[in-house]
Amino acid sequence: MELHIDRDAEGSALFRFDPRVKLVCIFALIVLVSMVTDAVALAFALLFAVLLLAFSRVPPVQLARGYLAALPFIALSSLTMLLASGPGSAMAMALRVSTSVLLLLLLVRTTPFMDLLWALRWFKVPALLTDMIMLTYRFIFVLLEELERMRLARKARGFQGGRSLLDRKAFQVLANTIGMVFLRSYRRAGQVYAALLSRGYDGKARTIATYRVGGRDVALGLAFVITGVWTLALQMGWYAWP
Amino acid sequence: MDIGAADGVVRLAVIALKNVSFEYPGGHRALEDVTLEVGEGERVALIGPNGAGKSTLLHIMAALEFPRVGEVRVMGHRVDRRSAAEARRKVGFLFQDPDDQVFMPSVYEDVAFGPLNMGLPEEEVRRRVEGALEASGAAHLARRVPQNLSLGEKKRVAIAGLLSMSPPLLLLDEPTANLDPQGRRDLVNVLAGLGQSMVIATHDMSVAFELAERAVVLKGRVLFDGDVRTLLKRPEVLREANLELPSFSRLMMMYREHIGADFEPPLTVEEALALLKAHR
Repeated sequence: MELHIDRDAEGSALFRFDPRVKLVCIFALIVLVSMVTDAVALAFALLFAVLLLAFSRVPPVQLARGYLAALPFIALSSLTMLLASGPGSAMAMALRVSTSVLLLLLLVRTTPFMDLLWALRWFKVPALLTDMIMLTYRFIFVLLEELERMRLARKARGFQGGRSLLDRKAFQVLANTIGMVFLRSYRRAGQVYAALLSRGYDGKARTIATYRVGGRDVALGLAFVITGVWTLALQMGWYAWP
Repeated sequence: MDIGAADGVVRLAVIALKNVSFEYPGGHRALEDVTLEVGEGERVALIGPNGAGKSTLLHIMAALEFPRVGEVRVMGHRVDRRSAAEARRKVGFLFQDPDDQVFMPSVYEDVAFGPLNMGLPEEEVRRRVEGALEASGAAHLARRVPQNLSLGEKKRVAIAGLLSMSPPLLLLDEPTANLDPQGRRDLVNVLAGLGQSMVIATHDMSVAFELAERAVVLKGRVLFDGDVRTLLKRPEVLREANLELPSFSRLMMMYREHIGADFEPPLTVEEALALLKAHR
């Protein structure tokens, strides 16, 4: 199973940029965008996100896949707006959420996972949260393998899966599987905690990451500031396209 | 605390257990009156059937469980809940399932986890990580992610994670279980090349023979503690602990009976061959 979150990060043009700068800029712009209602202003922000993605050289297929995963949510929220307050708001909602999703994809696709966690820690995000994200990411794969083994074991002994949603027997088997997964996870959690303790864990994981804010980070930050100000200007009507 | 070893040299006990008994909540008695010392640089095979308390004993040695009766000392210091963190730093524990142990998202980060917790400067951490990966034969895996490694590779990464903390004592829980022959051979070679004191819990008698000069047979209590060669001459101990000699050893014992010669059971295939040549 080749599923690796950092796969594209190293090939990206934004790879060695300071993750703290990326994190702050992207979250600030997302917050700003979430308050903007003007379609032109939103389109401008979206254009910026797309240009930045093009510059970052993240494989378009990966981006498309990430965006598609978010599409149902975008569609649902836009549909709600369409029914509640008309096509203009729906359009704005679609642009707004798309921009946010693309910006987040940019963040996770160009930043090594451990460096992102390091940046979060630097901003004083509680260790409980960052460590949990870290361990979850590692153990998702262990859990998936376990589920796959259990699926095969069921199949090997003749389990066919439900023929309909009302197949009680199939549900019983699946419920047992879920119970088993909980039990095994519980046991594993105990082991992992023992392993953490025996290697000196004191409630706060430490990692090596050394970044210094350099010229290119300032340039990236400036690009975000300009985009933010311009988007705001379009929204407030300080500036209209000629 | 010093103990006098058989060769007359006084060695420091890396770990010493005195009259340790352990009972799980619910009343299951896992260990009874275990007294055991491991000297510096000594390798001890901990042998016993399933449910004999091997894992419990290792957990106690690793300061992950605390016996209500008896005393545990690591490098002369008494282990209790308060001093546990200090003791854990001196004891490296290899878990049976490396997925429990290699918990960081990348190999390099995982090996660096212990040294970073020790508060070492970055340069020293990097030096230790590289040294540990080298010593465990995992240097080429540094940039990989754990979920794509084979079991043998994961085990070696887990060992690197212990070595980077340079503990004087290693505890290994069934290190060769489920490995393929090549993975098993690689792991035994890695372990044989290390200078640390070791306690190796195993069912695999040939691994025990290859790595350890001393054997402790456990079945709730200590049935035997001594030289591995002496253990082979104690069939009643082997029987009580449900142990089986490697097939070449059993073959040589049958051969001995057949030709009416007198020699000790061989510990390795090479020894068996030498005996065959001498007694044909």
